[in-house]
Amino acid sequence: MLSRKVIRDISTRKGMFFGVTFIIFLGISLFSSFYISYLNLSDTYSDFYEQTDFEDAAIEFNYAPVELLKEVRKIDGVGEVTGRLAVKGSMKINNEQVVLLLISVPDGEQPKVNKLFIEKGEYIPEGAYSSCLLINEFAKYHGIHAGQIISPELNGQKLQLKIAGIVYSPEYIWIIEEDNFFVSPRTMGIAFIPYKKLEELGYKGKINQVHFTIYDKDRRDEILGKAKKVFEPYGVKNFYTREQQPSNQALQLDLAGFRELSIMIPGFILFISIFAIYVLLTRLINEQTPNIGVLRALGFKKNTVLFHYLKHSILIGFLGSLAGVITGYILSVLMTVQYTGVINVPYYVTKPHFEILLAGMFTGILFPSIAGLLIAKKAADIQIVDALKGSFEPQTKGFEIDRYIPFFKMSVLTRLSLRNTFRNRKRAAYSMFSVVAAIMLIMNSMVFMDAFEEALDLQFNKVLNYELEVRYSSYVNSSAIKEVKSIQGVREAYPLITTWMLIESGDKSKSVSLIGMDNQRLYNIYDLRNELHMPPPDGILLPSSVASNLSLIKGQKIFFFTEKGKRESKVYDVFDHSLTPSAFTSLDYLQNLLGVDGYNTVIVNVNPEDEERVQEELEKLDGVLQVNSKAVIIDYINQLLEFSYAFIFFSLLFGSSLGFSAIFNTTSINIMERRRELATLRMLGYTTRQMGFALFVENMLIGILGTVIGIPLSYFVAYLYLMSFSSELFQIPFVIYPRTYVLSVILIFVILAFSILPGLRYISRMNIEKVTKEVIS
Amino acid sequence: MLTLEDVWKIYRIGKVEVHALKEVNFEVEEGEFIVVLGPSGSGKTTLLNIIGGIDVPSKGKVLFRGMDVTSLDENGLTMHRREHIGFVFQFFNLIPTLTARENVVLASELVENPRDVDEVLGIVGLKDRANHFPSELSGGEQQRVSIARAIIKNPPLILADEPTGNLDFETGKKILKYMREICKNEGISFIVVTHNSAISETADRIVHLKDGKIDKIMVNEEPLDPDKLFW
Repeated sequence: MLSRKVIRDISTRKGMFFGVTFIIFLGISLFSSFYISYLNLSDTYSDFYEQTDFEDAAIEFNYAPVELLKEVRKIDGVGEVTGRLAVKGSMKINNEQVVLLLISVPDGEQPKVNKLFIEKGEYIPEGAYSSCLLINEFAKYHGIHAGQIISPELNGQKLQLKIAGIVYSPEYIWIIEEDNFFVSPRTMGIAFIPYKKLEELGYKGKINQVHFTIYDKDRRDEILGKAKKVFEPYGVKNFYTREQQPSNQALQLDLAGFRELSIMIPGFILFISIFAIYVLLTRLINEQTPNIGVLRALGFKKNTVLFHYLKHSILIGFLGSLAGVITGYILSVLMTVQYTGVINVPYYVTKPHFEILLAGMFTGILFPSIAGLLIAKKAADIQIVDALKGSFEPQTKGFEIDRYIPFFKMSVLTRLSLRNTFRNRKRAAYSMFSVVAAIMLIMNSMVFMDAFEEALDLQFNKVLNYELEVRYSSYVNSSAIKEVKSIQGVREAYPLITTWMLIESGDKSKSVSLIGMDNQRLYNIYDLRNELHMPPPDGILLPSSVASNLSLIKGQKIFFFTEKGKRESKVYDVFDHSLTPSAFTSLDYLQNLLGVDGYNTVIVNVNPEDEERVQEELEKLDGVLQVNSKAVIIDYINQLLEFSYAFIFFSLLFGSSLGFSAIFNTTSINIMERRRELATLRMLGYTTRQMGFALFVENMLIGILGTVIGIPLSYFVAYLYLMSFSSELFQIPFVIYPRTYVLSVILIFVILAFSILPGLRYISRMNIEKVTKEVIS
Repeated sequence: MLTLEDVWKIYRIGKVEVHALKEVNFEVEEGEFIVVLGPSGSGKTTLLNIIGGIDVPSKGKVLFRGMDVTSLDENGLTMHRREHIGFVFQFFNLIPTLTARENVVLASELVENPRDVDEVLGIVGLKDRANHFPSELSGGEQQRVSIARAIIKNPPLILADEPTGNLDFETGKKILKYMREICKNEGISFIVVTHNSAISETADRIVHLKDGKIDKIMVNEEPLDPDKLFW
């Protein structure tokens, strides 16, 4: 019979119980959707890596004899080894010059390491030297199919390659080129061609990369070190383990973000649910105190009363988490499908992950049960005599806050609203906490957007002030810049050297792109704090992530490998870079350091209306490998960010829903508890509108206080949140635009205003004569 | 001042019709003290609610100084309560977060020309307790605040629903005395609903209700001083 009472208690307070159940639902659906998505993505990558024999380590170096692979194979602990050539060619598609990275593969058989997943067509047949495999993203973007012929150009020679198949590669799930995160398929593709074909083009008997597996995983760093030594005489450009492999590192960072979010935000929401349940059950028990007295007087045990009220929270937890795990699972599948659609994996793995669903159910029941136990124990401990008399919660006269606001005369109704705000301090604290929580969720979502906008603004409006970047296949002299400037529509053009350096420090080493340039206005070195740095006359200006990784400080002597061999210099200074890290020095200094004349890149400022034509003309110049358009990169980044914006939208929705549920809950309880007062006011002649205003004032006061606490707290949490995204690969500035503050506050106050509407409906429909006669306490 | 013409109130519970009031006709004069007497379920409160404009009759008319109250909409009824009616409840219904004075001022803010709050608190003998919260007042004092709250608006009619029902004998008598004096001195009409027949001895007229119908209306030529009451 008591169980039936639980159901009736809930059904007579449907709105309030639904509000609390919804908070649990939000927490658990977020937890299960994010955590299962994280596991699904992790499983997808692992499965793909396993199927394709993904490398354990790799070394990139200047061209070396293929025979050296034998030396690598001899190293104890090394498993399969694949040596290959990777060279950049170019290709015309739809009148646009694109870069095509040509990577060699064995003739007639898949490479032993980093096998390719054939999406369409077949692997290159044995002896079909004029065939190639094209990476899926590039083929899809340009509408290229298996069987078509492409004509890339390499070292001045034009090739005719038949596409045998469209493929996915474990190395390029996330395409990162020379530390550039945002490589658009519009401007760059990857093709795999038989080694013999590539060899013919001036690389006879040579390789410039080795990728291998290691069966003795514990000795991985030692084995990689030994292998690196084999190629050191030829100039090691970069080396990395599986964890440091650019694509994998970016994916793992992203996964870590997913995992953190899946615990942090739901944990926060469930913490709020404890307060929500506590407030709701306190109200219920307060109202039912005489019933508790009767039950106890009839002979029901304390524990029976305790379990009876505990059942309410268990039921809320059960229903909320059941709906949460079901929704969470569906969302996890949708998120996995959506996410894997953005990156380059041929398939996705989704599993129900019952252990997570069970953990979700358990957590969803545990949190409300904690709150339920606290309050149910209070109910069970109440003395029968006291319970029969009525409320066990002392009636407070409220905090007379209006006495501290002497500036203007206020009506008694307004005073009443102000006092009611703090009438039940625990509840006021919970309401304020809910506002704080909602602000934090709402602001955090928008801060993410602010940071990206700021980073992109910094990168594309301040750092990169040019429209086009011309990359040459080798160093060119001063006549090249004259040639560029002579094109009609070109306003300014400056030379750069873009190269790489592998810095060694103790037993650590790190590869970073190195840019040599004069002080000019088309390429500026801004740090995260918007401070401008000059290209150093001597020494290297190092990005902070690289400097800290290698424990390097200003003025310290450094040794590093370059495309021209081992060199030495000093750290001129360290700066906090935005987005991806690059090192800088002056053009003269870099020319002397490398021993080269001229430059290999020219940056160009053009009249906007001439950009397309100038790009076409630049592509036709001798020795030009590639012309990159800043506008294309920005477009691509915006495309990539669409997924993030969807995520931000859902975060905003969740934050707003949480705020609404929590505030609605307390407002409804407040109204229910004070219904006799409200009915009396109506009887006295106050209109529903006047009472609505009084309730609005109460909610606004809570809103103002919650906002005052919430904004600085959100600022701090947003800082931690954004810092968690920063890594060696990537840094974004911490900035909160004024619009974020304004929109967050507006949204909160809209939520607060809307959350009193159901209460107002109740007031306007209440049976005032009946309510005025109720004995509440 | 108040005329009830053939007032009926019929509730429908499922297929059953319950006649809470049947064919009720009576008038209330200015400055009259009327007690409506009847057992539980006789329709006393329903009658009070209809007069007070918080319920509407199923049939019949309620005329207040010539104005047809039954034709008013929700807003009109609110204005009617605001300007013409004062309420005194059995359970006082004071706002616990407001002091005695503030509870009274709360009502005064509804009308354009309210009475002076100190004067009103003086009438109910609560000047010294004006800044106390309801939780700091006795039952009798709370009911006096409730009366002060009713008269501050200067209404021509006060409706009191079992005003002594939640008070001890001595306090109840005092409250009746206050109401009687206000009626006499201020010229405010009172309709007091009660099941306590002893109280009726203080009334100018006694309306007996039975099964929703007026059983009889008795005129009390010599109303008793509440001090002399006993129950």
